[in-house]
Amino acid sequence: MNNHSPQTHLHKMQRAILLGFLAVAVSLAFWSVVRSKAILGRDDNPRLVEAALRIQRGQILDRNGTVLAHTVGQPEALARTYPFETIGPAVGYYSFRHGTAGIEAGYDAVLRGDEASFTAVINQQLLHAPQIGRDVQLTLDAELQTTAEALFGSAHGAVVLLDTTTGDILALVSHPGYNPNLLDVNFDELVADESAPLLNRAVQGQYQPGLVLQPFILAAALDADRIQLDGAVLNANRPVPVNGEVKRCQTTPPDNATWADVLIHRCPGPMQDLADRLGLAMLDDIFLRFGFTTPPELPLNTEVPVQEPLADPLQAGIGQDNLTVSPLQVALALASLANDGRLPTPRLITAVQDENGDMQPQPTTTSAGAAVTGRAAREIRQLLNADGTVSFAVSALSGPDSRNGWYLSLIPAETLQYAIVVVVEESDDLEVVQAIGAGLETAVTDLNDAP
Amino acid sequence: MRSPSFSFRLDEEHGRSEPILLFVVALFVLSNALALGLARDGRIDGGTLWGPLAWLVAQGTAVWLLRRYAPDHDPFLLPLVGLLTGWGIVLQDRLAPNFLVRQVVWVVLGTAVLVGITLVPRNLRWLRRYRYTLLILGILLLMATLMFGINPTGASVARYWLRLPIPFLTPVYFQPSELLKLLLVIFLASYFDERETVGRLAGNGRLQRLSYLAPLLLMWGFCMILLVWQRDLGAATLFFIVFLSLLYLATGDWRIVAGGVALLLLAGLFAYLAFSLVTLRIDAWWNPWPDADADAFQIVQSLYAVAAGGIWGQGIGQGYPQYIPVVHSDFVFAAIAEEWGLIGSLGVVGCFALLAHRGMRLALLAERPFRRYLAAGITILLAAQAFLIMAGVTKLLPLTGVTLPFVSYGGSSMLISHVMAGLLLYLSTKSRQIYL
Repeated sequence: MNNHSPQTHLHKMQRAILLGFLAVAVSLAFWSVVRSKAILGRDDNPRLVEAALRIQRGQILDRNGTVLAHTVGQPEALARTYPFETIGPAVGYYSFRHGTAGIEAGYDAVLRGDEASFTAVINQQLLHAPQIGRDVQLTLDAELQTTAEALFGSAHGAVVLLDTTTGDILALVSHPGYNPNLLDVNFDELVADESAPLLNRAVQGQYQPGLVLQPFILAAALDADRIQLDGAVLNANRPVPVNGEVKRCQTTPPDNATWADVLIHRCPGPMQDLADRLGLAMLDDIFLRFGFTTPPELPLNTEVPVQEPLADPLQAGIGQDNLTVSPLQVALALASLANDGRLPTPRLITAVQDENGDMQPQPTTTSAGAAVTGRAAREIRQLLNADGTVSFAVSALSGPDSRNGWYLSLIPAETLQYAIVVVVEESDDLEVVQAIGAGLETAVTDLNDAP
Repeated sequence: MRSPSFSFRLDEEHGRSEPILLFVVALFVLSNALALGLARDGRIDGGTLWGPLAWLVAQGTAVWLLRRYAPDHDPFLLPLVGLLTGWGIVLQDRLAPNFLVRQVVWVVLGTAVLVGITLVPRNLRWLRRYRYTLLILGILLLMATLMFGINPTGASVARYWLRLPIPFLTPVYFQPSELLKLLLVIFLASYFDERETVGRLAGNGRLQRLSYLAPLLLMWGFCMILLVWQRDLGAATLFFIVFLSLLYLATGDWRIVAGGVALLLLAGLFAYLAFSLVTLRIDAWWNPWPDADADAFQIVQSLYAVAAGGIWGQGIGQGYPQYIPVVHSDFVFAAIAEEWGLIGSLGVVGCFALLAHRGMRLALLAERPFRRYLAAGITILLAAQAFLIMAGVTKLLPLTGVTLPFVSYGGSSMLISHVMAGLLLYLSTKSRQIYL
């Protein structure tokens, strides 16, 4: 009978209630401890957005300490601002909606301050102090960069200006560019724009090299004793059919032309003879040694579509086969001619702020081996020296009725400290590309002359 | 004369425990209010403190009045209710500051009603005597919402409220289903009491059992139909749990519970197939993740809040519980879990467990069946309501839209919860003074 007393039922009921609350407690522990990490990492967790919005992102500085990108405003309304509107894809953009690009993407973790010190983590976790990012200093020169950008006018193309010994990139221009301050407003138009302003042409543009390859192939052939610069060539100015067009030397060579004349007058005919003798394997090796077939190591997106292998040595010898190159690759190869045949390793970052707020210089890396011997490099660049500057301009056919103008130069004449590569798309007029190159040369000289 | 009894000393201890508990509770509430002011504005001003201070005055007065005029009352109930309401006021300020004034007014009003009910003598008699009248009144009010019901937010769904015609005041809304919950408990308690007093359920004759259950089922069924018609599934589930529990207490027949649970599952299955609202709720409960940005948005956001809280919590004003729709009402528990962490949320669970424990203790000590059923009924109602919403917020059960008693925003719920706490306190003054 005792089993049926109201007290027994009440006790049972009491236990049932406690059991219910115990279940809630277990459920709470499950979600707030056991499963916490797993579900907080889901993309649609708005807390990730809130945390990202509160990050005091680090600055991006140019080599002189000029601010290229910084975060301004109150903690609730931070805005990423770029003082140079035409600074371009090298710096990239940071957009909450559209992500990051350029250095903003390459050094995102540093700029966000993800690898913070122990005390900073404690501050963030315990006191909800906003995450503070670290600064990054680039090799870019804001002045040269904006000057180069302005030189393009309405033309499309790219510029690379780098130090031939250190590999420091002083200017990396892709035109047309975009204003990173207005990215959110213009994003859809930028993506749809057929002139691809979001693409960094300087590192990702794939251009037909044409006779840009000539000095490099000749230098390699010289090294391999396949030619002598004073060796005679036959029929230097003979017509060469390319893509339904007929190409000859850029300027008329003398009748008893040598290999030196082939380079000076940019003659395609003898290059085909040479390429035929060298064969595809040797050409492949030359292009590999000059870095034309490997993406340079940079904290930027340098990925390009996979290229078809070389097919025709006659076309490959004049840069009209399957090999396409980026302006940066050409600039590095060009620098090797000034650098005893050594390709510098490109560098875009000079210093990164450490956890204590001090700028730590980033080491320069030396290149592994030489593409060609110093002798070959010297002989080739001496041939390119005209009027005190080592420079040459060529146009490459990039398809039917389409050409790219190239301009390569090494300045100043005494030290050859800087390599400049300009490419202009859809330009038959080499004067356009030469004018941009000359403008940049003046800017570099002025900058170096200034105290 | 020296006091020989053990219980006396315990009594003495309990005599002091209520003000001490209130002091601790007040420390908690006020320090949270200060922390909120600092976290939100970086400073503390009257705007941050007037709510908790009004709450403190009401609590202090209530403790003083009860200690003076009803010294035998249970010393734990009021501090527990005070902790929950004070916490609720801080949360209102945190989550929906534009509702803060109303919440404070309801808490102060509720506390006054609680004290009144505890102190007014013989108030149970007419509850018992007019049970049919009261319940029918409640049902009529609920029926009125079917015709005149509105939703204070202006939404065309969930029109559970009546607008009270009070002149010179901002609109005051009342939710009759909240009142009906209590009236149903009173009705059931009174009914079982009468049956038990008049004569125990004799034999096992089917006819007798039917006659025993018939009026009960009729009244209860009527309430259920109204609530299901109104689509107030939370209230309907509560009614079902309370009814089943009291029926079990009255008959001691576990088969009734088993049958009831089976019936509830069957009804759930039917509702799942028949009502799109129920289909959505149950689907969102079973696997919310694929639907996280649509139908399951609320529960997913709630789980994010609980997960973000971790063990220690983000700290008041420093989490992001605002991403949960109507967080200040049904989902206030998720906000607690985010900003006070597992420690805080377990604290709330503990509060309700303790409240339920004290309530059931009153039922155990009650000398008369009516008091036993009333104490048990009210306790089960409060505990079940807290359980339903806490389990819903943590995905233990499908969501049923009920408030967290004493904490959530909602005037009717706040007032009725205080009435229930007042009744428990009243019962405690009459029970034998044995403290266990």
